Amino acid sequence: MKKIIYIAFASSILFSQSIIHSPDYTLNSEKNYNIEASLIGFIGNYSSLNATLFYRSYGQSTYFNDKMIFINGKFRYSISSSFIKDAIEYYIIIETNEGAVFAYPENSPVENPVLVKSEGYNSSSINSSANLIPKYEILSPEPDSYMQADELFISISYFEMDDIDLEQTKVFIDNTDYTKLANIKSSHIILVPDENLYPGEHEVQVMFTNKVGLKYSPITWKFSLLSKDIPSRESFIISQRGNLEGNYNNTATDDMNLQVGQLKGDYNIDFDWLKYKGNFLLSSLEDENEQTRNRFSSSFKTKYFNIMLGDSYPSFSDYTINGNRMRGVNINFKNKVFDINFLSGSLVRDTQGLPSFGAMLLLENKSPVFQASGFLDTDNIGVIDVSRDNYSFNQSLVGLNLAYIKSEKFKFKFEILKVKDKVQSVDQIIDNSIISLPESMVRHLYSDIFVDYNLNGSYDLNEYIGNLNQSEHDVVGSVLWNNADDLSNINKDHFVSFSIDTVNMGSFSEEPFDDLNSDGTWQEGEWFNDIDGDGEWSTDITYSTYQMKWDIKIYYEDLKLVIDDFINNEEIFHTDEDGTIDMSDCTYNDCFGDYDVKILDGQWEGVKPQDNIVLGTDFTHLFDNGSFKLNYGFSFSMLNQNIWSPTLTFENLDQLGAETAEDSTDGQFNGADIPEVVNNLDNFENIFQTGTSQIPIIPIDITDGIEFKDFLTLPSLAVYFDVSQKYFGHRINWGFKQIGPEFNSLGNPFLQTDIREQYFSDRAYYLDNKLNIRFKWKRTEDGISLVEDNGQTDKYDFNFGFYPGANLPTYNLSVGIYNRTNGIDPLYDPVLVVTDDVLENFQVDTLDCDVAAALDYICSEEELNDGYMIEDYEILSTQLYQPERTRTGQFSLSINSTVDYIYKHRINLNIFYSNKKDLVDIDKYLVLNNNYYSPRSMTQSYYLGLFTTFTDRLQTSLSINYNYYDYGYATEYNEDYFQSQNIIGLNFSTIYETYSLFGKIDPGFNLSIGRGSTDFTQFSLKAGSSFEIAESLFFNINMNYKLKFIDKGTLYNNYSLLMDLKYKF
Amino acid sequence: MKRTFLYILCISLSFVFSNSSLAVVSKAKGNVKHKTKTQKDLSTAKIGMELYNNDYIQTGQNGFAKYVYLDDGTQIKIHNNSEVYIRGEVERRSIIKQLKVDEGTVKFDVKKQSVDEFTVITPTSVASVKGTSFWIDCNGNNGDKFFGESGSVVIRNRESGEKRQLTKNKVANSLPDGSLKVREITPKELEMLEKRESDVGESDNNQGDSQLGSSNQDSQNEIIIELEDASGNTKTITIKVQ
Repeated sequence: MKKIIYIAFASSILFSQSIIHSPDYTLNSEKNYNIEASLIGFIGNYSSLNATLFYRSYGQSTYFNDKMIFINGKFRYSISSSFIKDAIEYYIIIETNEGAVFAYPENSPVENPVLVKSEGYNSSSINSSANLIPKYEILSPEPDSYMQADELFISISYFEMDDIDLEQTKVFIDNTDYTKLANIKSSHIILVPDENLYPGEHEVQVMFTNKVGLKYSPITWKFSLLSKDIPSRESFIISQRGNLEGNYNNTATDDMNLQVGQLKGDYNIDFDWLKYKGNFLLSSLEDENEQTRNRFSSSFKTKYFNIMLGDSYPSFSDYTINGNRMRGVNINFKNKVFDINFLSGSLVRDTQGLPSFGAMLLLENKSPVFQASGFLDTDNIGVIDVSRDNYSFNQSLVGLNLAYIKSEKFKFKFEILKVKDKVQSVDQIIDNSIISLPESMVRHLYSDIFVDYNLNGSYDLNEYIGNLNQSEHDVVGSVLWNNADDLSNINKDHFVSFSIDTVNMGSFSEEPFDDLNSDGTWQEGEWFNDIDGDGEWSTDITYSTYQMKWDIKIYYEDLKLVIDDFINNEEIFHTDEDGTIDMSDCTYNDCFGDYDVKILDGQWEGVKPQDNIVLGTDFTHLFDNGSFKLNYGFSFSMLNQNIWSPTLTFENLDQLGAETAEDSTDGQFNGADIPEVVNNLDNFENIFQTGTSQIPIIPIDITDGIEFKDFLTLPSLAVYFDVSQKYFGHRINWGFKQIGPEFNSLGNPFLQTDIREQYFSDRAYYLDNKLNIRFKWKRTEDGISLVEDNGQTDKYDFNFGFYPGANLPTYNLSVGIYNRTNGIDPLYDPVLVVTDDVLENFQVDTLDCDVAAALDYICSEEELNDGYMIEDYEILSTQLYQPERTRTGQFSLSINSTVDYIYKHRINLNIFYSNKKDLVDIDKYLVLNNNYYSPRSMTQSYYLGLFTTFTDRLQTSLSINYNYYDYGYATEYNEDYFQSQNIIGLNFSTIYETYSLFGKIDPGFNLSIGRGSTDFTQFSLKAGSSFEIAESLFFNINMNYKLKFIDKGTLYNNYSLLMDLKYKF
Repeated sequence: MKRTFLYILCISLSFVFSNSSLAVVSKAKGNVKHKTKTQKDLSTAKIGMELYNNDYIQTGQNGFAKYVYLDDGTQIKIHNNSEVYIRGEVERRSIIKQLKVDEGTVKFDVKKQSVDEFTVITPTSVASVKGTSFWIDCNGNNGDKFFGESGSVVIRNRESGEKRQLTKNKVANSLPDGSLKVREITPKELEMLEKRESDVGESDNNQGDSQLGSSNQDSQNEIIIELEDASGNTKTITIKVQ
């Protein structure tokens, strides 16, 4: 073989002589590649011809050449398989003795040789997602330049690129294909759009592909067209954009159906000096009787101010308000020295309750009094209170956060938050409210109470308890059973509904008897009914007692009418045929009487209105260029849980907590003198409304001065102290936090109170920030008392993260150990409580009878026979004193990696294990505590996911996961205390760009199999599509169908449908 | 014999230096004429027209033409009342550029040349540039004025052979008598040059960042993220994307 550096010439053939050659485009890298050619139209001796093959591997710059051998009328050459890799290029030159030269290909064979590629190279090169880097020069228009529309001319040069497949070249302007209009040459493209593009910004994109199908990275650049009429001054609006989106969700899960629709949008406009942002959300679940699900907000932002109207999520600190939604005004001013945030609005909106669902209710305030004759004492009729329930007050909020930034080394912050319920926001009366008549008003319609001796759930002869109709004095065996009134004589026109129910009233164990001497117990000689047939009057069997009761509902507006109807009915009931009225049985209060109706304006049955104020401070010091940071502060709160309660005064404070009548007038509260200023507290009602329901009652007891431990245990104080240090590559953070049991902030209702926390953590980075190691310890005490045994949790966490670099696997390992105790020691031995402490030593003693006699204890006959007595005792129930001692070990590992093997893959592996051990000796503890429930548990979770990108159009996701958890401890007394469940899941989904009407589709399926406490199998199919309907209008639909079998019996067809339409402008 | 003659007659060979296009006209306003070497008559130059070796461009009283070379985007702006000949050849994926200016005003934005210098020839001078921006005001046989904008230009007076270097904000006067002098540019001259540019819509405001238009230069985009901590300290993360 010879190597010839460069030959470049082309021959044009004018006559009919030419090289005949059919390239074989199938190239197998494992076989020799054979080339044959002949010269047509040549009349002469072929042996005088000189045929040379020039060939090279694709991508090489120089050609190898060798002489072709003339065999059987053709010139032949075989390129060895060892030379062939993926693609080769070649051309053929035939020369005659006379100097004629023929070439194949005829035109510029050197620059345009024959290209043949192997199949493997075809598929891998076509599907490879790695794009080549183009070498180009943008000629016109220059990127980000402005030009007149009539001068528009688009041109790009790829002078240095010689392997471009011009047929595959694409040119786009604003995603519109302009390829057909473009003049695509071997070194450059020229495009003059045939239509005027509108003034404004445009984007050009040029996409190249090389001759073997590899794509070059798209070349994109923008330019702006000027209109001739463009105003000379700057545009008022710099930019504006927005979105409008509607979605609909229809879900059916286990026979429960939910349909939700939402419409939301946002709009942003930038005037340079002012930025406006507005957004809204309308939900089909909006209900005026619940908290709003709609959202509206507008924000105006300038250099120093940020004004938000409508819904916002302010954040002062954990102790005041921290991201809770409010609706109102949120103003923030910030410059280099001050950062001021002012809030005014409401946290909760008022709801009135539903008229047909208990918005109003009746309560008996006072019972009517009857005279000895049985007639109503008209000076002492009953009182019915009309109260409210199932409402919520409008909770108004005012807040101020003032931060003073003296320098970058010191910052001081003061904040105040006041939240108060507006009582006037809830109406006293709700029209057309349906209310139930209270028992006191309809008790006269009830039946007598009866004992269900025959266990049939209804009354039978002789099962009643007397007719005295005094619940605690009903006596078995009396005569005259009173059945429930049948309402036949009552005007029911004003009833909304009425129903009778047999209600279980409790239990009774006496057999019926005739209480002749009215002493409440059976005596010898009195008749009794031997229910159990044992021949004796017995009380050893327990029976249920019942009463038939009426439930009558009326409209509130008809209450007076119903009262009048009952009064009339009572009169009719007590009038005999002669017209004589006998009310004598009313002395036992078996009559209706009469009632005044009083509409309450406070102390309703529902939630009570509250008033809350929180004051807080925060100090931050920075030293050593920010390497040492000290942050500390405290917050103090007052909460009145019921502003309807009496205002705090000297008198009612004196009575509060008094144990004796003397204490209630001693001028002291909790042993401390009550200050006179208490009587003036109502002057400050606008700041905070005090009352007997406030916590704390007295913020701080200064009688004996304040010590540090007093401050530390103030019940309504939150205090914290935090230090952060960055030295020697370590980031250390340690501190202390305490929140008292009576600290409350309605701005952050989820704040955990009555806790003390201490913590320490250290994070370090190694290997050029690729490896990070973190250790953290945190102790949480359930309570702030310094003398009591508080529950305590110690957590130790270790974290290791290794991120070696781009396209390399990342590793994350976490190990945690948590110790928990609730401060209660397990009691393995019974706790005996002496009930008859003869020796008065609080212990159960055994004493000889004569010794006991000396202590005024007389032994019983049995004890005398034994010669000793044992003090009476009870075994204390420890049900309310369950110990908790656990140790949890936790481990998790996460590995993420990308793998390029044929295609591009991303692999995720996650392992999680947690084991919570009960440190109580369960078997020993169960001896005395049969119903002990152990908090032990175990959780395991394994997940493996594979995400593959085949082409720009196709991606798949495959994952498998296994979860197991169990909790509790099965005992002989409670076998069902132990539960376990395991779930295996398999999930597969794809994303495919169809480049058609269907846009991008994502079908998939999921299989989940659960075994354990619940056996279930669920198979689900999903499909979705997202595409652009029109310019800037996008549609997305997702459907999910699930077939769920539970415990091999129950079958659920669950589905969900989500549609989304979005317009961007 | 006859066959041999026929073969020789019929066979033609094209040489290595095929006539490749060198540049493209990117702007043509007013009276702009063009002629290739083989053409007899002038024709109107249009946007998108390819330019070859020995092409001739002439601008009239209100004419302006701009063309750009295919290999590196070097821009040549031919102002009114000018006549130029474009010369060049392709070598190793680069174009060796030469412009013969007989008369008129031409502005050059020459990118850094990889193979050979860009050569400008007038009746009086020869200027060689590697990568610079400058003007020529050629008065035919009455001499030339060179205005330097950036970089440096080596000017040689053809009569005397004297060489001088022209840098930014300098003016070089090259006369037929062989003299070649360099001085500071005056504000009036600067203003004049700016006016010439704005008159034809070629002011700097309309130009984008030419660095973004080439894959050969450092086509770097930067993403800058500013972070501020609770203490108000700011740190900047800069991500360079190529």
